[in-house]
Amino acid sequence: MKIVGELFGKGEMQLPFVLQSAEVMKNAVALLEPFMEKSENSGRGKILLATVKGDVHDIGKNLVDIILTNNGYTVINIGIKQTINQIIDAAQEHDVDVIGMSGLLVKSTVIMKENLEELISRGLAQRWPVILGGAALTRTYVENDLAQMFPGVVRYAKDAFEGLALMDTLIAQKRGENVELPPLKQRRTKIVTHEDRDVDTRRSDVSTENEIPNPPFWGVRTVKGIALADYLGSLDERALFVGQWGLKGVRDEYQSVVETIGRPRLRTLLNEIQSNNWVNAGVVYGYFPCYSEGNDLVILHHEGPDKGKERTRFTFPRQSRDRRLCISDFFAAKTTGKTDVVAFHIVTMGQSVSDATALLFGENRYREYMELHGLSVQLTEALAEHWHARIRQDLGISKEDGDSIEEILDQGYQGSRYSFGYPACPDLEQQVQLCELLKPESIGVELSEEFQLHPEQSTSAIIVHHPEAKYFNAN
Amino acid sequence: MSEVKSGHVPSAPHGKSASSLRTALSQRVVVADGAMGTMIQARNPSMEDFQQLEGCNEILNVTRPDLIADIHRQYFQAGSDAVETNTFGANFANLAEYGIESRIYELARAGAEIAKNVASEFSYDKERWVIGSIGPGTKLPTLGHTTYEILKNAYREASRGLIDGGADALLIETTQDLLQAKAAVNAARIEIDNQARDILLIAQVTVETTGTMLLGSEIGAALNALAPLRVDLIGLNCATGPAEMSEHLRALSKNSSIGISCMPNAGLPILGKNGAEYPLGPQELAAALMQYTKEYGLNLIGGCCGSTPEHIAAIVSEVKNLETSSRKISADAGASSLYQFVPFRQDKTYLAIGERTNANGSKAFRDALLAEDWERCVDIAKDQIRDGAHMLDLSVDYVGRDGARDISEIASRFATAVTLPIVLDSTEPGVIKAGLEKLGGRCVINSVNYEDGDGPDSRFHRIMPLVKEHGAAVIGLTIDEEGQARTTEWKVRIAKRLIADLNNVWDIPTCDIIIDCLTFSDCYWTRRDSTRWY
Repeated sequence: MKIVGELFGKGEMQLPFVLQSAEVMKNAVALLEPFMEKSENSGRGKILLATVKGDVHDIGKNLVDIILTNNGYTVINIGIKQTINQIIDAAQEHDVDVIGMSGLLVKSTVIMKENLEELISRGLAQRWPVILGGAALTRTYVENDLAQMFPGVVRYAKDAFEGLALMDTLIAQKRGENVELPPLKQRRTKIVTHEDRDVDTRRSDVSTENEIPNPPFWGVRTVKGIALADYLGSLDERALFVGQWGLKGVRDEYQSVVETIGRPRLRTLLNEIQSNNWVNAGVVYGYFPCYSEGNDLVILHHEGPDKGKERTRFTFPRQSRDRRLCISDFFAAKTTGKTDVVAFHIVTMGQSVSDATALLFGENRYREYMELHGLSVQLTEALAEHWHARIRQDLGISKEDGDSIEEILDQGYQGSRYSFGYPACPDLEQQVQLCELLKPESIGVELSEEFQLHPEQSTSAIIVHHPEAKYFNAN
Repeated sequence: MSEVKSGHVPSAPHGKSASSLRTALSQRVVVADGAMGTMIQARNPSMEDFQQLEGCNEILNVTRPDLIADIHRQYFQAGSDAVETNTFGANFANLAEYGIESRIYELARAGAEIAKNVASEFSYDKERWVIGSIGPGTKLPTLGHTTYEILKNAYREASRGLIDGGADALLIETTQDLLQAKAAVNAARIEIDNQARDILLIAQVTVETTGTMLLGSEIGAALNALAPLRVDLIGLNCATGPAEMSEHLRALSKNSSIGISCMPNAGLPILGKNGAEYPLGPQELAAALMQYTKEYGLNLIGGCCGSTPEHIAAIVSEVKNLETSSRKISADAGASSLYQFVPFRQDKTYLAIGERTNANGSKAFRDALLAEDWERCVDIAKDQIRDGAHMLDLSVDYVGRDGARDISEIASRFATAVTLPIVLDSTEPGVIKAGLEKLGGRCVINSVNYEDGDGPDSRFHRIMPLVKEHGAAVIGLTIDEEGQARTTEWKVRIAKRLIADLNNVWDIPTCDIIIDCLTFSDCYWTRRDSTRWY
């Protein structure tokens, strides 16, 4: 596994094969274990792994688990959505050497900071070295900002093998060996902090001359059982192969990796998905009358005695520079007297696929586990993309649609689809109103206390028809 | 490439004058009835009524015709144009559970007669019809619970009973397994063809809340497998309320060249103190069906579980003889597995048929076959999927082996483990038959040619009835009595003859004919350059 790790580090081995090697290792060790002598302090060292409070993403943490376990470490993997109390309790109970925290969400980076503060206030900062990992983290955030406030050791691991290297050093140090952790990375630029000021609600220069389309219905519809072939065409292969499966290669080499590894595995998995009923695709979507008021999008009742009156509202952030965009600007303002239309949707691959990935992990089928997980995440995105196309058709604004999936993925169409938690509408709490409107229980999706959609393979969006609506960063 | 056609209820078969039901269905939406089982339970029949076979509702057709007639009356009073006979369980699996499978015909016929009599009572103001209900039974042939043959024979009994009792249409409903649906449809088709009068054939599948049929079939696969069996309407019933059916009806509306029916439950049942309760009231169900009728061009609507005469009354007053118009459809030709539809024309590539599951094309497969290592055969099929095949050629022809048995073993495994459609490849009609009877999707038959002419004993003539019965597509080889065509003119001449024969004699549309020109391929496992797709 050491060589495998080195090869992976040098980019000479693809992630799926690393996992396959780990499977082999696991099986081999299981066979050999009865014949191996038990050493006094069993295992090389112990680490606690947890995905932090409010975060349900566990693939990264589980990959770390696989790699560390395979390298002889004892891993106490306590799962997702773990509070700092649960983390500390488990760390004490199992008397671990190191704590590892993981999280995918931007919000999780803040939680990790709070967790470190809690360790400090309980006087436990020196007790355990902490390794942090996850998609939204950056090295400078951890090794500069967090390391400055944390009197103990805190380090960033960009992947499982960096985690392994850190673990090797930390345990060696604990044994009294004279080894050093790599130096902390220093930030080069200074952070400019913005002072709080009054909320800016002045409309931007977004055109108000756009046509307002007519939706085919008002209110919500539930759709179950969309044929896999229908949304497979919207699959972002690159995001799957590179982003999820970790396949690498430059230009021609990448093409060959796609042809020889990516697509064959994709076809195999699709056959398994269909013949095992692993996905249970569902969509809830709807069209609602609305207008904007400052930074708010006000949703109106479309029927009943309150028809035309306010039903709920969403508040979106406004850019403080550039065009000063805010999602609400893409809708007719209340003052115009016009009623606009907004679409929302929530799509899911269903609990069944979460169950299937958990099963594969439990059976130590690491490669399939990682691949199915990644595919299910990208299929969720594909379904959202597919349904966005349907909504454009429904609204009669599909003329601008690009011909190829590449163009579509590059927003080659009229309007935009903004998911909560992303830069234009980062506030996950706004999903409360969204779920009140769409009632996603009908497709087995619910919003957790931390404003996360469950099952994990679900995503929500506000769909905007305005021709100027494109992705932007509200911060 | 899609061809734009229109979708509508087909006209009467050649030589028969259209029944009034067919005429009505082609002009306006026809309203059927609602649930039967709960109406029976509400009347609380005694054990004597059931002849001690508690819960066997079909027995009531002979012991309590008055009770059943009364239920039909309530639906006709509510405004139903047609009622379904109380024969949902008059099939092999259900009656066998009571040990009375010999009474299929009797109970089916009695059920139809009751409904016909009540329909005549109500025919004073408008015409009323009887739809013979054929339920699925509890045995699924794809899972090996029973065989296609056994089911088909029992469904023939039921069909004959319903026809003799006066049914105007036969409705295969609540099907969960495409192979079971095929057995029922083909049985009903044989009995209908034996009649001089025009009887409609309707096939309804049940799509679960998961969005597929119980065994995983997408609606596109169901349409592709069942429509070529000469059904007049295809539709959905049971399992869900109307909301969950919308997407599937939309798919049918866009792709079905035949009529469409829809009989949803009154919503998804909610478990309460009194057991399952159906949440949709009459107005809500009626509004949904009205919307779908307009949006998707439905021809026949009604209710399933949880629907009552009140629901039907609301539907009737909502739709009020709404006219149906023909739909514009884009009909892609293709084949299907149990799971999915695969078009013959692929968007960006040629259609690749995997040939490794062919005992004459792959040593590995032949070895697995000879060792009877069926799992290895499945693995070879999966390897073909991995390598990008769109369909799989399956051939077990090997001297000295029992081909029918071999193909049964393999096809039954491929049916569930492989999501690609199967091209059944054999020179033996018996082998093709055995394969077809294991595969619920729509197969392609490989192949027919004129090697031994086109006389009554020729292979051509022995294979084509199988192609017809199972609604398969067919590959024609450019071989005639003189041998394999070697010149362009010769090949074209045979191709034209094949197409004309298949069109005119066998009524196979050109889009379902694949001509293999038998040039040497430049790629071992595909038919890349040897095949033209029509």
